[in-house]
Amino acid sequence: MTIRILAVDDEPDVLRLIEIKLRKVGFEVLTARDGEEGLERAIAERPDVVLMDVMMPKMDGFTAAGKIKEQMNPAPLVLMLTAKGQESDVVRGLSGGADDYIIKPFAPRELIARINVALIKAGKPPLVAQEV
Amino acid sequence: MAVAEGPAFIGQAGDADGTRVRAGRTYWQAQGIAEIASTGFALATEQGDAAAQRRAFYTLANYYGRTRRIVGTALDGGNEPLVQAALRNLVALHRPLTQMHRTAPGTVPLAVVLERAARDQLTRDLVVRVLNESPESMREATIVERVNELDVLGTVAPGTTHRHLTDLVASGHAVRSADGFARARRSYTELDVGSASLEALVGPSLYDKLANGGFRGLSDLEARQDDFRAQLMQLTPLGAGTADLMIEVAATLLDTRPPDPTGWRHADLLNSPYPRPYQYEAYAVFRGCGYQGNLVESPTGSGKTMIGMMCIQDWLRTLRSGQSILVLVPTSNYQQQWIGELCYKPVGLRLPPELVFSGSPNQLERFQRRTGSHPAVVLMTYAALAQTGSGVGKGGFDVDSIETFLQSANVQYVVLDEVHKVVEDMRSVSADVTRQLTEWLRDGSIRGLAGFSGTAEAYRPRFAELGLTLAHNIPLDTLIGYGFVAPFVEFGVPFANSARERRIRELLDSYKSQMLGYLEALGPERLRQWLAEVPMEQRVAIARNQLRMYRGRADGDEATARRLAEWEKDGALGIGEAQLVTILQIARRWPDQELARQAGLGPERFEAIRQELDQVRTELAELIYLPATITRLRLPGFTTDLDVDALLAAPTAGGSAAARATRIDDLLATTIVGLYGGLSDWYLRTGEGRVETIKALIDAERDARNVTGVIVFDTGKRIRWRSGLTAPGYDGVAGLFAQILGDARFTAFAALSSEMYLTYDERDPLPPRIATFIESEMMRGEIADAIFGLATQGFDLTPDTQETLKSTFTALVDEYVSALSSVRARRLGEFQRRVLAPFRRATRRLVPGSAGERMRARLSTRNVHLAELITTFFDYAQLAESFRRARVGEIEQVSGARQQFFVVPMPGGRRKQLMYDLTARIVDAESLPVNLVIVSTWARTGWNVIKPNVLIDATATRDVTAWQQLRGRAMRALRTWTNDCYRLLLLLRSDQPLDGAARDLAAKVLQPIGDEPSPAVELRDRLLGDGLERLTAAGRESLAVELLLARNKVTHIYELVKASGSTRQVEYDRPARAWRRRENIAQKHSYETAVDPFSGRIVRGVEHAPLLYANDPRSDLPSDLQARVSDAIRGRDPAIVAGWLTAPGP
Repeated sequence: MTIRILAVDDEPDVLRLIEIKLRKVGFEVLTARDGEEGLERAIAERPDVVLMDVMMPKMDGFTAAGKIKEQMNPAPLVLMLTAKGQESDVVRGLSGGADDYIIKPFAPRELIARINVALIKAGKPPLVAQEV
Repeated sequence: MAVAEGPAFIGQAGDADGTRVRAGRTYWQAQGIAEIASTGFALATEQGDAAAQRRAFYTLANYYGRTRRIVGTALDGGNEPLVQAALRNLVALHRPLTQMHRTAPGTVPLAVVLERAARDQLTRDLVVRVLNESPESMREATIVERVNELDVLGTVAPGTTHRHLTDLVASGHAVRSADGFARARRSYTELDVGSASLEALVGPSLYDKLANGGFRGLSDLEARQDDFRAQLMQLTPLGAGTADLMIEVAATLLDTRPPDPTGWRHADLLNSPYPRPYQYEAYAVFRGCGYQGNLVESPTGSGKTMIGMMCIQDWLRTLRSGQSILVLVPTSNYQQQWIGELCYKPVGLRLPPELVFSGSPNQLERFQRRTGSHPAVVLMTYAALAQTGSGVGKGGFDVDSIETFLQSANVQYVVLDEVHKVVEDMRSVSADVTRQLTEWLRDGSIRGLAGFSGTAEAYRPRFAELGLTLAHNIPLDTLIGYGFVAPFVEFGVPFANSARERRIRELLDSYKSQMLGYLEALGPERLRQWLAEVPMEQRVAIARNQLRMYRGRADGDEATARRLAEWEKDGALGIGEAQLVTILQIARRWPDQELARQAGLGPERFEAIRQELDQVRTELAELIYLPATITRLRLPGFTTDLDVDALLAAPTAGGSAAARATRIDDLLATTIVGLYGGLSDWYLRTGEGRVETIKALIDAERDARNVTGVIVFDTGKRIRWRSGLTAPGYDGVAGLFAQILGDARFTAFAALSSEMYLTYDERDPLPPRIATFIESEMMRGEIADAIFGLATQGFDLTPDTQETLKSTFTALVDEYVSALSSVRARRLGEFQRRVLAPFRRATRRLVPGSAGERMRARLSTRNVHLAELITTFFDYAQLAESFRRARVGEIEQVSGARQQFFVVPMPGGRRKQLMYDLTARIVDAESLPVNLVIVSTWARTGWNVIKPNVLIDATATRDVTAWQQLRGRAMRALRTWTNDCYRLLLLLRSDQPLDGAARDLAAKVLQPIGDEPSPAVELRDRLLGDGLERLTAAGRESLAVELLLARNKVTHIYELVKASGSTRQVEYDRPARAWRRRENIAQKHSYETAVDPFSGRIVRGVEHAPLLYANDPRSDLPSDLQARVSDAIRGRDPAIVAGWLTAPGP
């Protein structure tokens, strides 16, 4: 069974990199460019995991994550993507319902490992990587 | 109406729905409509009727929008004939629309293929650009006004700008202040127009497929056409014809892409006359391969960096703010070379320095945190990248840290310089880094990677293993055959002893034979008998402790005992057994006088021997230049004293092992045999011979031809001038420089990585002249120009205003520089007060309106880029200051003469890099008299000197890479060798008839030869006269040679090789009756090529660098060598050039 990831970030290069690296190991990847679009796509596509940037135009990541958790049942796992130096925001993210956070810039291997850990914690089968 | 194409047009078009249009039907005549609209537009332009211009434009734009939609629907519906028709029409409509925009940019917008969201982001990009222009906060009204000045797509409504500003604050890219908005430090990535256009053209689903195949933007289609055709046919049912049309659309859209109002500022190298044809060719190869891990092999000195810069220029077209290009180099010297070519060199990319960063990943992170700016080009050594994330000195390799760095720097393109160094050791961290990068290239995480190497062919399989392909090779002989690398000739010169050293050897021989005579007179039998009487234990102890026999051997004592027992046997005493006497003398406490008495040698006989030996001692003491040896030779008590107690105590005394050994040799120097032991290594000393050989070569060169400068590479030895008068001897840079001093023919400049030495001339001291040079060329020149460029670039100023601004700024800088003194640090405030503030006042008068405001905003010292330039300005000021404050040192030459010289410390940190670059400029400067430069290993790479035409490698190390690097230093073609010279050469070497074009070129490039009667002038006059057609093939060839000689240079390269000692590099080949290089040295020459000056042919292998010696390199005197070299090279340059001209054509 494929695991579907929705990556939400306003930086196209970050999105592109996430897409390339996650697809390469076997995830299915969807993308959105801001919180608003992220929320819409999450509801429409029902991904297993949402990777959510914090600072974005239109709707910030915390708000979007909160709404996803609130409006979806079962809700996907939400991992916040936090820029270095904004770690203090993490508490806010986690208390708002996010499942974990990852500090940007990240190593692709770490991102994959963190997604898998979150999946295992949630009692879901992790990805058996094709190639890491 | 915001833009020329988009949903608004579609709305107006109403019925435009591609699905209704059937293939095969001419649904509209795009070409015809375009012509009608263009005619209407032209008429409206003539009449100055803006409304009619707009009408004509939008009629066509309407169709354009519909056409684009048709492409999408036809692709979705799999209607290939329709796709093709629509693509053709798109091209037919796009060009006239672009033309209309160019004619009336204020009236009609630029046609683009973009979806609404992308166009919206394009506007947001403009808002960010406006915010970037000023470090200060800006009012919203100013931002709106400025966005509209920048926008080429149409009018941006204040509401739209406001929405973007709000979004930018939310995303952390901007901050709101009391009076407006300012840019925050979060880096911002602009829209990739190429990708967005491709997506808009082919629709999201095909775009996804293409992007997965590595075709993310229009330029990918254009660059990798064959690949694209294959992929499109594999991914879709579409055929090659459609692929070709898509490529054509891509090319059309790229050609007409919107001009970048404030994008990367740089010189246009691609369309400049600077790149050489072979550099273009290499660039075209890279571009044609789509930068997919291809390598180009090109010899040192051929200008690989220029090819790299052309690639970078190409990449900058699609690189957006926030993304970067990574350039990896082997050492920091290369980093400096790249910075020079990217930013400062007149013939270079001239990128603003703030766009280029050089340092480690950690330094980059700190720099970005501090300044908030994101450099477009990041220079780094392989090692610095490999070791990121790994503890200092651990040398480890951490994949995660590297990937994190690539992400944070947002690396899109990579240049691998000197990539052969990476594969020399496939287990090195550099190879690991390269593997990681090619991995990212393969999966599309980075878009392009290009590599350069001076020597790649031999490593082909290793490159393949890393995923790199050697795509192109530029042979050295071809480059030289067309003058792009200066023609050269290479010689091996064995160096041996000077006349003095030969006399020393003769005296040592004489001492030795007299000593053996003395031993014979003492009676070998008697001596052996006495030795046998000394208890073996005592003999062994003396042999071990005082004579250091079998030192370091585990069974030393046993071996010594065996040898000493051998010495008890009968027979005459040889030189190898002479130490027997010393053991005996110590054991019996007998000085020579007593030994002779005991042996029954008559006092007169002994006195005669002593006197003869003493005479040799005296003469040696006058010839030898090492103070320690002289002391030994002049020791009182020769033959009469022997301090046995001191000798016995010496081995256990304090100090180093070397010091103890010296002490013992000193104590033994009062005995005849002992003194010989302490002198015999003088047989091997060739320091003076080496220095004399270098001088002989320079003299021979000066005698035979016009020498424009000499570079000597030597080992890095400093002069210990701080401890007062010092005698550097002959060793390394220090020794050579010291022995050259006082020779009026040389104005020498020696540069070590720690300090610089300059010839002393009280009447016309060199250091202040160099200081003046730095002030005029760098501070008032390059840096002032860069600051002026930073302030004024991109404004639409009249030539008059530009001129007035420039002269105002120049005057301010001149005045400031003249008044500067005792600079120890950056003086930002003073510079601000004395230069920037008055200049800002001038701009208030000369540049009104918002342009003036923006110019003044750029001139704020809070502008990090300006601050960087000012820092460099003061770096140069400090360098100039250090020359003004040059110290004077004093040395004692071997001859005993005392000489003074100037010392300037080499600065540290970034000023060191500036200084390294400056040394090359000093050597090349016409205004400075330096004619001999002595440098150590730091100058092997990244040190580009042009003027010198003699290079001597005095290090006598045959490390191949080092040698190629050194050789590359003196092979840069002179600047007078232009592309016009190349074209004329091409004509002369072709069999085309010489006509007016040749005459024009000849007039252009040969006038500077002068009018002194010479074969060249004669030929030129024939070329410029009517004799062109009558010029014979030989005449053409001869003119080609003269052309190269007149407008370029011929470099003579000498490699010193050792002819004596245990590490000698040449040997006598008896059957051939000639000297040749030893096997291991010859091996290293096996891939090298040069013209053999004697046969005039291009040869490969050891013969390419013939050995020059007079009779026997071990005994040749420097004067013999000088005569030989002079004969060998006199008048040979034309033959050398003619030899290179036989190289195959490009």
